Amino acid sequence: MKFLIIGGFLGSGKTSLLLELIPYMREQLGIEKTVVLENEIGRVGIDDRVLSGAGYSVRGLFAGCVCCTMAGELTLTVKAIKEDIDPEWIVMEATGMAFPQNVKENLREILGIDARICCLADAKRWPRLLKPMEHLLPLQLAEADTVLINKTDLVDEAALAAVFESVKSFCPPDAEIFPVSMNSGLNTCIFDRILGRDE
Amino acid sequence: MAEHEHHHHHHHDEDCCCEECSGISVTAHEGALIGTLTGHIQADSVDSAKDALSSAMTALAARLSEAGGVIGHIKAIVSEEGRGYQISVTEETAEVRSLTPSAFHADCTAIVFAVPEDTLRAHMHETVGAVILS
Ligand SMILES: Nc1nc2c(ncn2[C@@H]2O[C@H](COP(=O)(O)OP(=O)(O)OP(=O)(O)O)[C@@H](O)[C@H]2O)c(=O)[nH]1
Ligand SMILES: [Mg+2]
Repeated sequence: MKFLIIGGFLGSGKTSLLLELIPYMREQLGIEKTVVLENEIGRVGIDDRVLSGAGYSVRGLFAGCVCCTMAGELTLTVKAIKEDIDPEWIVMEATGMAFPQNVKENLREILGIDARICCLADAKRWPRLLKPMEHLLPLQLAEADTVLINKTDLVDEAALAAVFESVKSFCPPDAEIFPVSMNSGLNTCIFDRILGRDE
Repeated sequence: MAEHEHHHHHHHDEDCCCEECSGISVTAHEGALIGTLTGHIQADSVDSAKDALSSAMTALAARLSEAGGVIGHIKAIVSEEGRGYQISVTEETAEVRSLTPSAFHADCTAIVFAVPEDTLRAHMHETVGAVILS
């Protein structure tokens, strides 16, 4: 069972990515069994209903964050999914406040699962958010395998170049960084990189 | 109607935005406040319910920014049998995504940094709370 963690600040486009990635996995890669795990900080789930409305198999963890307050629930839920469904992939959308590397470490230590991390950054809001969220945004990128700088449709080339440099400075040296716009659709080879195919 | 049990001393009326009166629950996580309101919208169609709520959410975003807050994400779902919308505000404008999900039920969550709880409550009550009846 493979595991993908989708991280990145609130509103950066994690659910939008899932809405593209899951059909790609099913239709292009022939992966029949993928379970989406939605973690939301609010006490009512919103994204899980967006995804289950689109016909995907979704489990929700609400009112807390799996990188800290709900770490125990996460490992129990993942164990249960493995036993009940044994999917090829679990794709987890973290809360916008999570540190994906904490989730990765818990999965490795407790369940022996080696997860991949894809982190999103909002190109438009990055400059404005970096200062007030300096305890969060840089650290969210710390162990990303792939990084999507999203919403490039909302910024010009110079602004994007500045965001790219800033984002890159917080990423591990071997992270792959892709400027994208989820609104205009992703190049499918980016999906392969997110999933770590042909590695 | 049963008498509410009030543990604090202020006058509860329609302007009151405590949880009991407004239905707005607020929790905190790592410097963020998460306000949630769940209920029904009175409207003649799911489209007008969606329009009313997305204007209220846009107004909430503007007020919270005005109050010095940093918006994380304000998002909602409005649905009826067979049809619905997700609404999302991260800056000034609302994005709407239509859903094919399973009176119009509505859930709205506002995640914001750097404003006090009272500010979030008051603004949420006056904007989104005017549309979603808890
Ligand atoms: N212009 C533009 N808007 C986008 C793009 N990608 C996503 N959005 C919008 O950004 C908003 C937030 O997107 P989501 O996918 O809900 O973000 P998220 O990271 O899942 O948000 P949380 O789960 O609340 O942390 C939505 O209104 C999307 O329609 C993009 O490439 N361009
Ligand atoms: Mg989401």
